[in-house]
Amino acid sequence: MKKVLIWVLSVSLLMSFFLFSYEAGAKEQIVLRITDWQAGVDNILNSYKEFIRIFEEKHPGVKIKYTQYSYTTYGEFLKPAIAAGTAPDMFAVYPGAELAKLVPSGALVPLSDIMDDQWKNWLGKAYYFNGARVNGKLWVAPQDAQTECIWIYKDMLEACGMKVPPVGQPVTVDDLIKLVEPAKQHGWDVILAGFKDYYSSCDAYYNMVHQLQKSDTPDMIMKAFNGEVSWQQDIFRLPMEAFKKMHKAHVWREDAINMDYQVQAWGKWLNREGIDIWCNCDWFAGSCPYEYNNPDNPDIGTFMYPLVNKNATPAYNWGFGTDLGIYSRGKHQDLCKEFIRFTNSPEGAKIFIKNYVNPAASGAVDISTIPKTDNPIFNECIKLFSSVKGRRSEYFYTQADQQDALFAGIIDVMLGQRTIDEVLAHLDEVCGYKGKK
Amino acid sequence: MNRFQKFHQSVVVPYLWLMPALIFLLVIVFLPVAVSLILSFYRFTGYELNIFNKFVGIYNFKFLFHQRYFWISLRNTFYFVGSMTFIQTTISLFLAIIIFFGNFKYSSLIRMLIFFPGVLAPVSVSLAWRKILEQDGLINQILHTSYPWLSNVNLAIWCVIFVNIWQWVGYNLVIFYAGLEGINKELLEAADIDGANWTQKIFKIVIPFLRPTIFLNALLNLIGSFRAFDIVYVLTGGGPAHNSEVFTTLMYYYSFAPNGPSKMGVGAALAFVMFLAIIAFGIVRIKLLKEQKV
Repeated sequence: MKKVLIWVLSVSLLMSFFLFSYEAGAKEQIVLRITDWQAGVDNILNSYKEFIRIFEEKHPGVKIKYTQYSYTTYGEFLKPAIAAGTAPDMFAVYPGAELAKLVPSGALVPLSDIMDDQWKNWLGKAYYFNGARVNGKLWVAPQDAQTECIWIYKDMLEACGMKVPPVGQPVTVDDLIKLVEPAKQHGWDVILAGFKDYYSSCDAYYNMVHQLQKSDTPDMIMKAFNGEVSWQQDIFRLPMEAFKKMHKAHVWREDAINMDYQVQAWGKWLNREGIDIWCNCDWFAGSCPYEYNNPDNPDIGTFMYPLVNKNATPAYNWGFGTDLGIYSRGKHQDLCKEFIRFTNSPEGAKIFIKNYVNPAASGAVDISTIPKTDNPIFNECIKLFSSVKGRRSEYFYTQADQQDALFAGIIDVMLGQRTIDEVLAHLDEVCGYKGKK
Repeated sequence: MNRFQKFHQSVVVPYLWLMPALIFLLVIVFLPVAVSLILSFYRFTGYELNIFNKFVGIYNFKFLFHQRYFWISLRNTFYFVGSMTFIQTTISLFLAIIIFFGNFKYSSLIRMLIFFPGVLAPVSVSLAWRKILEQDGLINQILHTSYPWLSNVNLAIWCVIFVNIWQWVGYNLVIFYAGLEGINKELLEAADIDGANWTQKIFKIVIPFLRPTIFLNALLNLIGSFRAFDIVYVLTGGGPAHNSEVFTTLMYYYSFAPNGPSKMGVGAALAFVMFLAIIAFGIVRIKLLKEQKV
């Protein structure tokens, strides 16, 4: 027994010695760390693998370690890392509210201060993305563009007696309600939704409000969140009524309130339990299994968020997913800058497209001219992103408490816990609206 | 042996032996508790490079007490703790008595089956129950209904409580069973001779005999239920619209939730409130133990 113990101890000691030597050797290299919340999204992972390979070839002394966390656990990693001073050299930040909380800490380098004009031009409209801007500066560089919409099974929709509308022409809320009975006869839901995720209801709500705006600007949601206008007006009331109407008519199942969309609703959609799935982005292009998403399968397509009423203008949800920033305490900020610049370059955009990621840098490549790929969902995303006419509907806001009050309000209205008027009055209170009602 | 040697033997040496454990306890338990308490007086989003930068006095506590979610979570925590302490303890005691005195042929198999959920990870248990309680899940299929169990504002927390009891009742049962094995059988035989019926035997002999075990189980359930997070988080995520939040999930929401409010100071304040609540229960428990001389 003693001999075995001595052997085990000796082997452990030797192994730790070699590991230490290896680590010591590795320390001679510059190691840059990157993190984001895209765990499970293979198209993003593959793009970064390629970026890293090319970058490391160009910089022999540099090694890049890329770690993907899940969306829900990312905050658990990032916050303690920043507070402890051990944040990665480059890290993704959720645009909107999270970024607004992070910027005052001084943990990020203001990118717009260090960007050259060429880089700004590559980013195109992404450079002016509100969700990535705080105090008039751009703090994180958008990587991938999102075209948020509803995914549909075209054959199921047609089996229920509705023609598939062309891209950019949404149906109305009432049209969806009319689908409930025929769908029920087939044993399907009209829409599968995961309202446990706040954006599943809020993003559609923002879209509906934007449909009712007189023009793209001013953004009425932004004004209401800032307490500049009252929530107690039709532009905010009608979308809530639309939610209530759809919930009452069973456009989605009642327990959609307690489902998350990326696992539960998505799983059911893949099982063809529902015609549509509500609130999804380009995430689908990389996550949809090949047997569903291939050029020989004409059944999957997109649908815009429904119109609140016939007079509303179609609005398309437009935003950016991963947004990379540079840690202000990082030792190799120049290298980080070079890496992020590379991801936004024309070469970077091509790598993204090759991996079915819609590049945020719209100035680096004209995505509307790229040839069709063998990923039909990705092709639809590009069509939606580059050709849809209508109101521009951004869906990233910086006011976390106000957004939560809106989210809880929409759910309460659907559940009949509070009236629409009560919710709107509460929102006025939370947003600090002091003017006339 | 002089006084110094005596002091060295009786005080210095024992404390030296205790030192590693004390240091471990200090670093792992007391230090985080202290930091958390101090943090509750600061405005900290979780992102600041200097944690103790903006002192805000009792603002975080004021903010917390003005939040509807706090009162919902307080109510739910008390439902949860109360159910675990009283309902779970009662059910497991009842089952233990039936199994012990029932003399079933497969008594150990029955105990094993009831205990089995206790060895599973709470996350797996919750995921399975989430499927079972879905609108097209097993329960509704058996009942021929399509009730949204986990989306009902009033019912969601009770579903969580039910699943928690289902998982941990076997754990209490095993402890009660061990307690029952220590009962002097002669007492029960004497009661039989005196003509006592089963109700009398259980309430006059068995339960008084098991009192320390009942207290132990109730205490374990109380502490365990205050800490409960995983079951609530997986089953309902605190929803619908925060209606099934308990202290721990609300703490997570304020501190870490993606796109949440990022108010770690408020999360720390809530942790301190929870700490006080547990201390209060602890004091009550010690008093009860002293009074009953258990």
